[in-house]
Amino acid sequence: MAPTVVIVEDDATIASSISSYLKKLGIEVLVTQRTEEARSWLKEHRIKLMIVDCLLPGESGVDFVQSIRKQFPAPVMDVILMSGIFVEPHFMKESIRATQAVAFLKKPFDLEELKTSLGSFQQLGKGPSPRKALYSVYNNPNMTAREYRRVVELLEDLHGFDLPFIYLFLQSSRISGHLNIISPDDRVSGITFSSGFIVHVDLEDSKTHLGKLLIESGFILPDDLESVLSMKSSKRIGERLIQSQMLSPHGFEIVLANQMSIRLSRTILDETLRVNFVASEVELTKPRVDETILLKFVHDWIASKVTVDWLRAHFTPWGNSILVKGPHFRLNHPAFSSQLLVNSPTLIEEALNTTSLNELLEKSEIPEETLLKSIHFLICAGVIVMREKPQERSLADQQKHIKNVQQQFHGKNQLEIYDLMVRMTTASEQNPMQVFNEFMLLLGRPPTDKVLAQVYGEIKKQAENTYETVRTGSHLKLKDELAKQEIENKIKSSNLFEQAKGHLNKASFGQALKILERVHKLDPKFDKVPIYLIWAKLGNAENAPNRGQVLKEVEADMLSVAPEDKFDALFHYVTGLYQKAKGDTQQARKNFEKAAAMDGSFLPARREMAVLAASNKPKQDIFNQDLKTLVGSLFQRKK
Amino acid sequence: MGKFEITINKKGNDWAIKMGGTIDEDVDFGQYMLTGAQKIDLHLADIKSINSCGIREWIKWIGATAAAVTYHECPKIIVDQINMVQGFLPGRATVNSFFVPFYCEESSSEKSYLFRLGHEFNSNGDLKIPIVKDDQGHVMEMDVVEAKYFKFLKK
Repeated sequence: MAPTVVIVEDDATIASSISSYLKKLGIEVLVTQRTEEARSWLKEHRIKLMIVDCLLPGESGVDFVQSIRKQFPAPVMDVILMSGIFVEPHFMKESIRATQAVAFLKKPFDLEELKTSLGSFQQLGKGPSPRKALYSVYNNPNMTAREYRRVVELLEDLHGFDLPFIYLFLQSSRISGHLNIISPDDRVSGITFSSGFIVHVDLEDSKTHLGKLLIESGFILPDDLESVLSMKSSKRIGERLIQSQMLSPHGFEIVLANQMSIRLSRTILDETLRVNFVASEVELTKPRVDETILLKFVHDWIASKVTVDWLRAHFTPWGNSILVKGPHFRLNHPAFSSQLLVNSPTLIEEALNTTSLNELLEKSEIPEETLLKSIHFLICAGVIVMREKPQERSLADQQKHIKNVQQQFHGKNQLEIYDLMVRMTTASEQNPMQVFNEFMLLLGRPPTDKVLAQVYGEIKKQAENTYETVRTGSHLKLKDELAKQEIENKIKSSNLFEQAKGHLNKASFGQALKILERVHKLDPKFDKVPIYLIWAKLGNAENAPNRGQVLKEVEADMLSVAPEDKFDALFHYVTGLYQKAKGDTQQARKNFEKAAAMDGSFLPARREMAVLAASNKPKQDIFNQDLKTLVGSLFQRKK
Repeated sequence: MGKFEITINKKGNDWAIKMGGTIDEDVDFGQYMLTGAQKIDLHLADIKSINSCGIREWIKWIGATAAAVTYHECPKIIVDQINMVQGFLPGRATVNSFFVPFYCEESSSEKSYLFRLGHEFNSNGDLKIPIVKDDQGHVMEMDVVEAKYFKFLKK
């Protein structure tokens, strides 16, 4: 955590009692008796307050503060002076004027006096929010297991999109135990870690029941499952199947691994949740997810599930931070060969040479969504870390920060604004006052620039109105209305989706595409729409002049397919269509065959297999064949 | 990983249950039905671990009894579930005592201190934080987020 207060005092007892008091208030503290050391900290840390004794060895406290004031003026850093000897009113008054100190404390003073002098600093000087502390763990490579645990414990409300980071950092910390995850509707799921591996994923989810997956993967038939389930046995289903020689141990392991990856992916949801970590000895069992596999999963989740709106809000508090190499940085890190990074090859150089994240977002030519997702992925992997700049925001930084918030607020209703404020501050949404106060801290001091001050004022007003609406409970009515609207949209989407599927089966791809785009707009979370959209796009582009462009779009769209949706016939079919469009008929055939094997009733896959088989037959040159052969071939019996 | 252990002492309708080890998917609470009990004292000091399957099974098990249940010597992992998971401490159940972890930065020592009803906390949820010292006499600090850890006392 970045320290926010420096105490310059040569009396160890006084320094220690002030330090303990501030730490109890949750403020980070550094103590020194040498002004030189304090000067060096000013370069390394973002110091918000200095408490300085007037009589120091080698240099007077007043001279010291005066010497640093040019670089760290009063609005940037507060100063409290103290002295037990120089306490004449004239000296005190003159020292305050010369150093622009907020207070002068006569020693000995009681801590209540110090508390009064701290004033609003107690609010400003608080350590980073728990979530900010979480995303700073890679800044401190020497953290102990206890400190790792503390970071998780401090988290109050989390978001499902924070889980990829948590999984990776728990794995890299090699802690063993259970991460219990509690959803807003009190569903309990859990991930079990054992010395750097994920060994178990527990999710109450009928879609991923082992029997269902075994059938879908083609390892067993529904009748096999029925007969095994009817056996009287205390053994688990997998053991029973192996014992009855209906399933090989290897096949079982494959399905268990698939189940684990699907379940892990299903925990990454766009919703608030609570977590607790129970440290415990855990046996290292199989199948298990190691660091390389988890990194691949995290990449796919960020690419397909984490929304750009969430990322914008998530990065808002870090806008003024610089990006530096993290503890896992190396040029051959697997993250660099992932699709997101391949799509943005200049990113790492741009990121490491930028003066702030906001500047990177403003200047980079990489599309915003790819940029934010790539940065987030690298941060999750510990390849890069965000570090707060020691200097206060410049006018240009402040401008970028305020414009960023303004853009995120634009066109949003009060519920959405409140949600954004919660996301940006990570305060508990149950506590509107805390959300508002922390949001105002995040927004920063009012700018001196007139135009910017006006924008600042508008944002502040929106935040105040939102706070008032939530505080008085008036937002609940709006919430109800939106919930009703959402249900109506779901019903509408469902009907439209059925129509779209009908069009796809009749090969009316243009119609299907239009309808599916409407479905996606009405209900962005509608199950599997991204895959159906790809199907429609590919079909529609078959003879279109911009086919090359569409294929590029589809390549990007494939990244947006959630990993858990990649285990069924539909995904293999659509992947086959994409490969066929690219001219890779061999891979296409394999995928069509896989789709047909997974779901025998999925006719489009069989149709495509037949088309490919037909196109592979040598073409008949009817003009140069003798008549007998030609007539014979026309009436040949199908094999 | 400690195996799950349970002992049940019945004195008429008053039951004293002592549990220890790991509560997970291997624990079959169906074997320990609480039918017939009117008052249950659960002693939980020896519970070492609980995972999500264990939490769900616990809720089903403890939620099915109409008896007056009292939790004793809850370790931190149990307090965390009480605070976070609806139904882990059913409405009619109460906590008689629970452990609070303390930590000393100077000696890096850790200690769990038992907070007891009527001593370190009362039924209104008011706390009287004791001064806890490590073996070398250093004053230790509570190693929990107070606003979070003691939340259940105000429910």
